[in-house]
Amino acid sequence: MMPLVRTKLYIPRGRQELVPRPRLVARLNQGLLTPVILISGPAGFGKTTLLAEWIRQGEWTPAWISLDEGDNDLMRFLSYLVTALNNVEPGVYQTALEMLQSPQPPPAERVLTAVINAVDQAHLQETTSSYLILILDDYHLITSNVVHTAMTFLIDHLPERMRLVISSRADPPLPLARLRARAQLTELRAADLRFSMEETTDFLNRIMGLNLEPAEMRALATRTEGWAAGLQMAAVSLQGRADLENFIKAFTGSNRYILDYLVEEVLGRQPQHVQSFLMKTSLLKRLNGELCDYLLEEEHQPDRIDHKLAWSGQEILEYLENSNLFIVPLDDQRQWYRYHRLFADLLNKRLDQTHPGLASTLHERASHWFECHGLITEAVDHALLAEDWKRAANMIEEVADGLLLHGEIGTLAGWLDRLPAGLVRSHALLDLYQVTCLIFSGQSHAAIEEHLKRIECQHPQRLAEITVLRAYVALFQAQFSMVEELAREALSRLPESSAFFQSTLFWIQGFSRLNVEDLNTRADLLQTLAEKSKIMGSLMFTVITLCQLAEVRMGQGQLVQARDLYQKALETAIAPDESLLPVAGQAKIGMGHILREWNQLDQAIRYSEQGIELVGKWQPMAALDGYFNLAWSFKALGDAEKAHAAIIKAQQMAQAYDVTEIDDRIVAFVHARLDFWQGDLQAIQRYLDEMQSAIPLGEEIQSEFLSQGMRDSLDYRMRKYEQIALARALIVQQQPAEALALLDTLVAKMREQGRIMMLIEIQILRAEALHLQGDTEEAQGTFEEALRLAEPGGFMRTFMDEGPWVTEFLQSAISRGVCTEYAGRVMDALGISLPTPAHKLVSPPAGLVEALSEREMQVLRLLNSSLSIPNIAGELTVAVSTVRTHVKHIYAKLDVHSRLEAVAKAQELDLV
Amino acid sequence: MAPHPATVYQIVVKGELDPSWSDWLDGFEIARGVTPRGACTTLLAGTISDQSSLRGILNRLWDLNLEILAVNQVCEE
Repeated sequence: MMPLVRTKLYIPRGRQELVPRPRLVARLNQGLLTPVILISGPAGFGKTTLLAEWIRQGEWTPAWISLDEGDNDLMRFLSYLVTALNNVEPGVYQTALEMLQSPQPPPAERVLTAVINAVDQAHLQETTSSYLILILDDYHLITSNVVHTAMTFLIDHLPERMRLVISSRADPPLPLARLRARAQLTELRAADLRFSMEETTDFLNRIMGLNLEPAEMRALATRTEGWAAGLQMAAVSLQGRADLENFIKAFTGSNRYILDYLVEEVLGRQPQHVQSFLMKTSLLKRLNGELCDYLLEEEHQPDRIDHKLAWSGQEILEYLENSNLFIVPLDDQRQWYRYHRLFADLLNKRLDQTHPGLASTLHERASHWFECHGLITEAVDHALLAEDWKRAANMIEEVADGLLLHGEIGTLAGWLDRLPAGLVRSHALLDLYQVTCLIFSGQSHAAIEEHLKRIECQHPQRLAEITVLRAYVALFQAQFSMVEELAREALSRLPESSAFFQSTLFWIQGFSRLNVEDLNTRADLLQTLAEKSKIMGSLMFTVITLCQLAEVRMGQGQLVQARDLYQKALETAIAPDESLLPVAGQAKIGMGHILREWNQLDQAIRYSEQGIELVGKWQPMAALDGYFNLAWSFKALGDAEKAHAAIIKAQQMAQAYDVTEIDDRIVAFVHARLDFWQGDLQAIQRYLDEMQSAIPLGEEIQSEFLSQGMRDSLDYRMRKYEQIALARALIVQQQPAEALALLDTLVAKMREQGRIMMLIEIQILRAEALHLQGDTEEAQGTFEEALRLAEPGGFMRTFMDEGPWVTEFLQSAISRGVCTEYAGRVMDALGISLPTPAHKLVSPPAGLVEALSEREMQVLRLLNSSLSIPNIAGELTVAVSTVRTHVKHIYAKLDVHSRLEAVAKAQELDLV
Repeated sequence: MAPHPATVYQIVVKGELDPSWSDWLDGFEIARGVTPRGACTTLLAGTISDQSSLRGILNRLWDLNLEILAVNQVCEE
């Protein structure tokens, strides 16, 4: 990560010479009763000064950030935020800090949630104030929507002991109206910030010692309109002047832009070298003595007589500070300063007028100085302003790796955009970095490949890096064997120095190996990946990996383990205040699938809907599986209309998402299967015709299946599903022999690959086909194998969905003593009562679908008492709102609606 | 949508701004004006290439705490 600039976190000190503004300080103190304080007023109204005074009087320490344009990069913004808070309460924000330092940048909400929790749980030790106050100065410089969104999130979840103060030149695009409506916002606006007559008098007469007449005072107040900057300049102009009366007359009588007038006055009275200093250094965002000296070095001509009279940069800065002229200190050590923006603009303009073209040279010198001192961000900024493209490009190349690794894409992309396109293209690495930024920002893969082709032509020596990016894109397109191939190629050629490309490669490889057809191998890989990602510290990655592993377990027929993994994913993706992160949606959908299989259809629907909503904020396409769940659940409930509606939604989503065809194909397939179930017997064949995915019958199947060339094609992956569907259609059309031909080829393969879930379905169908053919014994044997495979996972709907014919087989199985309890349960679910009363009817597995978290258990135990909710909150030392959220979740998981019910259910389930 | 030619904008601010500001304000021409009530104003007139550059000029005026009284697009025959 680019090193943080400490001066941005420096709390400005109030200066003694300034007018105390007790009425405004009182307003601010009053404002602490509301969660958000907004100070909105144009430049030069003394917002920062006011805040400094308020802080000084308050005897508390705020977390302070002086924002600048660079903070539009979300990662930087968050870094400063967490660091500022950490400066006030050291050690409290470890989790958030670690997140920001991990190689894969976490979503902003996750970081903010960690911060919010930390605030909730920390106890301030050494301050008298009970509030944690975060002050953001110059918020108007933030234009990035992602930062605004993050701020909105913070505001929406602001902990009770935290206060947010925003100082800006314009009203920020945050939910102000809502805050106003709820009386949660305190505002100080321009009208409030203007100096009153009293304050003007106090300032000019008492503090500046001017002793003006009331009439003169009034004239000045009117002319400056209470504008702090104007007043200050006026005061400086008046100081040490013999002829006050005439000056005031001339000044107030003029209509000239007040600052123009005054600054010229003030500037004109400065020694020549100070004037020169002011103009030339005004283009620096921040300055110190050494830097200024370096900037002006060409000025010092040792032969000149008056060289002895010229001051050093440091001396001039201190003089300006003491005279209250133009600059603001950025630290306690008289080291760093900056110009008040207002004056910087004015001085800049003068520079352009008096020394046209000099600015460029000065920027270049500044850039050199910053580079020598290792302050690369500023070095780059100045180089860009100097239009010294080559130097800027070189520096950017040096630091780009670090930026990318920490997700500071915005900064890098911004810089690259400012370089001339031709230059970027001639620098292979920069070109690649720019394309990388494009990939991250979601540009179409076709466009990316165009860029990569171009780069390959121009810079063939960079093939390794190009290959990594190609692998990345291929990963998105699920072309897994290509990914593996490319990754291998890249690995052998990649220079060690390229940290970003190396770690991207590692990540890509991890994920690509996943699409091995053999589920057992896949499971092992995922285990390793899950552990590694914990070490890498990437939360999102861990959750995704857990979900993937759960999916594999499902495929292996291990439904209970899959459920546990989804549970773990949900717990990982939850903050202690129980707000679910969007990536958790995938786990919800996965749970929905399992619940449906266990015939808990209402729950299945609920989880699927929740999951769909959540993934919308993370990766909308992941919702497809949710819609499929819904479709099958509604069909099982007999609601054809709702089932159809769900599929249509999926179709619309897939059509809108242009990047790949996979989703369209899958949706079409599920749609066809649904239609088939609802009586449209030709649906499957029609689908196959449309997809031109002809499935040859007979010998050809064997060879095609084994063909490596097809391994990663969509056809290959869909093939087994399509074969099964076609087999089903063939059975219905009374063609069991053909059906068996299709199914038999799959059996060995599925067993080999550990695809138990599919194997169960295949065996059930084979049983049906065999039965049709009259091979009753073999049919029963095959069916019983299906039962044995399905028993550990408790599969229900896979049998139930096949139709009433399974009951015969189930009954036979029971009478032959095969999986009697399990088969009985399935019969039960089918609503069939058994002919022999001797058989026990076992009730469906009781208990919770989703286990309670530890925190929830604590709350539940306390619910089983006479403590009120606020008292429970006290016991657990959390906010009342947090407890209420826990309670809500507990009710949902226990499927109850009141405290009494919850306690009763908890006792029933032996939880308390 | 066909690209339209550069458009002329007229901005009125309260108070008197030196003509020397012209360069700083993208070469806009600066002239004196007066409101019906007799208050001094400055008329700035110039061409902009797109809305973003207009935004830039308005920001610069705003940064100087100049009160903006009017912004008009002037159609050319």
